[in-house]
Amino acid sequence: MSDTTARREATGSSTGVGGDDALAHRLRRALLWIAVATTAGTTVELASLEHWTEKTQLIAWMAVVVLAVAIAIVWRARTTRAVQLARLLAVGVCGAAAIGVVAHVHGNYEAGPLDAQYGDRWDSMSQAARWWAALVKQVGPSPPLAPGILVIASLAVLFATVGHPALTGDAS
Amino acid sequence: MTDDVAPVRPVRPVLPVRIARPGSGRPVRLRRTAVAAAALAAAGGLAACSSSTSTSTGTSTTTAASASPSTGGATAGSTAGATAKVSANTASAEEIQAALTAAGVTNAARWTKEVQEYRPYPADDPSLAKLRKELQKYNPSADQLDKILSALQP
Repeated sequence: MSDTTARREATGSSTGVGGDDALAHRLRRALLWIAVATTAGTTVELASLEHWTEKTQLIAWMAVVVLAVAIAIVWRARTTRAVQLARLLAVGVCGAAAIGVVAHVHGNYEAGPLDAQYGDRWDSMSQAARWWAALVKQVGPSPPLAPGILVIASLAVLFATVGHPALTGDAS
Repeated sequence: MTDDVAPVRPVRPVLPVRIARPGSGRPVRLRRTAVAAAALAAAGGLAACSSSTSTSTGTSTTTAASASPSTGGATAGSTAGATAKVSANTASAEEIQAALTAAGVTNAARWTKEVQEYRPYPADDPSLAKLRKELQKYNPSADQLDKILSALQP
């Protein structure tokens, strides 16, 4: 705790509390802008990759839409219920991102026999070696950790709800 | 009396069937001809047979004809594969897989899935550049990729 903060708490300075609120508001907005930028970038990336050739690939699009909704809710939230809904949606997007990571690694694993370098010895490799090759993208076309970007955006939304005025009824 | 020896001749068509084993590398056409000739000889020799027998000979001929593309394997694929292309846009999975197999592609079933996944392909691109680009993501050998593309058309 800094000296300035301690002094403010000790004196109950209304100016200090108001300053903290303003700072919290700016940080909250900054987190939401990070989420917006990440979501927009992810959308462009998905479109450029034509990430819709398989049904499971549509999960990423649904996650992006849900994330955008969560951002909008937190941005304009006036009630506790709205903030809780946004948190729920953000957690859901985290889950979808985790599924995406698993799906990418599994897709790479399945593509192992097609690889020019690994195809011939794929059957003789241990399971651990195969999964490792899929995880580090030595085989397959999918970037394993790319869906993790949605986790970052979701965490930004979740942190933006911490101390949100709507939770204490201070939202104006 | 020497004419009585003639019925032994129907045995001859059996010989080309032996020659046409996969290891011999003989053309499939020869085997089909041999099987058809054997069937005809059998049908002619058994002119008074019942309808059930004629049905069985017809079935065996059909089986031989339908089995020959798969047993023809590499030889059939290297020659017919270059001309008998299937559409990457409209062909069924079975058709694509058969074409890829005939072209000598390994893991034909898995490649078939990838071909279908990236549909549609531009009709005005006979070289299937889009498909090539997509399949290159899987790091196939150049030979394998050429075989796949040689069996397909938009």
